[in-house]
This record gives sequence, C-alpha cells and structure tokens, in this order.
Amino acid sequence: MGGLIIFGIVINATITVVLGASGEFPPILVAIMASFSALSILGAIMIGRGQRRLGARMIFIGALPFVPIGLIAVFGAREVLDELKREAFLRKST
Amino acid sequence: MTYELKHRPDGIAGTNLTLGLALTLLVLSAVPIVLAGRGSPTSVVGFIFLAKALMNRNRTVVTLHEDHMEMKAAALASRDFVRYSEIVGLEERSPTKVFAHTGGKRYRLPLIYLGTQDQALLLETLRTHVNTRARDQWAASSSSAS
Repeated sequence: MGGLIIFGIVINATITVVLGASGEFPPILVAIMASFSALSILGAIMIGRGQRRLGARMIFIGALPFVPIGLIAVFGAREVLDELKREAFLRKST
Repeated sequence: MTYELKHRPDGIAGTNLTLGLALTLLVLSAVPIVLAGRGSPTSVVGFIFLAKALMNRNRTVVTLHEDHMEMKAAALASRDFVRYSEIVGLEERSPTKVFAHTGGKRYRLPLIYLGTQDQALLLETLRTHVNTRARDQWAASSSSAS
C-alpha cells in the first residue's frame, strides 16, 4: 500500500518536472501540476504521521490531474481508506 | 470458514472481454504509428483497459466470513463491510440486481462481477442468514406472546 503511494507520487512528480523542464508547456499549467503534486506529497507525509484519512484524501485530489497514470497513487490511497474502514468495522465488532 | 469470490473472467463484465478490447485498441493504435510514425489517443484508452483487465484478473470481489462479508465491486470502489446479523432483508429486482437492506443502508450486491456459482453461493448465504434471523424473531415474538 505504501509502495503504491510512493511509486505513484514519484511518477506524478517526475511528469511535472519533465513537463516543466521541456519548456513547451505554459508556466501556469506546470505550476498547477506542481501544486497538485505537492498536495500528493503532503498527503503521503500526513499518512506517515498517522493522519491517514486526511492524507489519503489529499492524495486522491493531488493525483487527479495525472490520470490515468495518477491512478497508481489513487489505488494506494484507496487501500489506506479501506484499511481504516476495516479497522473501524472490527473495532465495532469487539 | 472464509470464502473468497473472485472477479469472473467470462461474460459482459468479465476480464476476458476487457482484455480483448484492450488488445484490439492497442493493435488499432499501432496502425498510425507504423504508417505515419505518430501516436494515437486510442493507445491511451487501450492501456487503460489493459490495466483494468489485469487489475481485475483474479481480484476478490466478495469475501464471506463467518459473521460478516466484505464487498469491493470495483478496484477503485470503497470496501463495504456488512454483518449478516444487520441485514434485515434482500430486495431482488433481477438476477443480478439485488440489494441487501440493513437498518440504515442499502448495499447493492456486486453479482454482475461474479460467476454463476459464486452468485448462487452469495445469495444462498445471505438468504440463509435473513431467514434464520426472521425465524428467530418470529420464535421470540411467539414465545413472548404465549
């Protein structure tokens, strides 16, 4: 799960850097993609610090402009949210 | 005892059809590359379908546990956890459109993604639990009446 998120975020960041370095795209577009990419990275940091739900939702939003390749990070975030749901369900059972 | 019901390979919602569609799109998208040296948008769609087919291949859609079940209709869908004891009834609108009603929520069973035997197993499991619960409630109400 962590691997998918990290891999997805790295790909998103790489795409942003490549687009920015190419010089063929408007700076505003690169800036927007960079901010979404930064949001994903922040989301991953939040997950690492224990705020998993918020972090996963940030990754969802941050990966949107990079779809379809951004779906890799989205899958990782989805797994985090599913795990939270499972924990809440099992806690209710006990 | 836990049963894992996997995504069906055949049928309209099966992975084989998605895979076939993906390969067709990829082959079609190779034509402009070969002829004119230019890429085509259909290659992106082809890769998306290919990713979808490979992800769904052998994916567990429903897990039946002793006292609850887990459902994940699509790879990006959220995972639903439903206790059998919370299911008050099944609404069967068609063979593949069945809803499980709990106190507050209604869950559509992902039957279309399951093979015939798995569909039957899932429905039988839920019907048994619903009928058992109804019978127990009836027994409790008749014993309290008498």
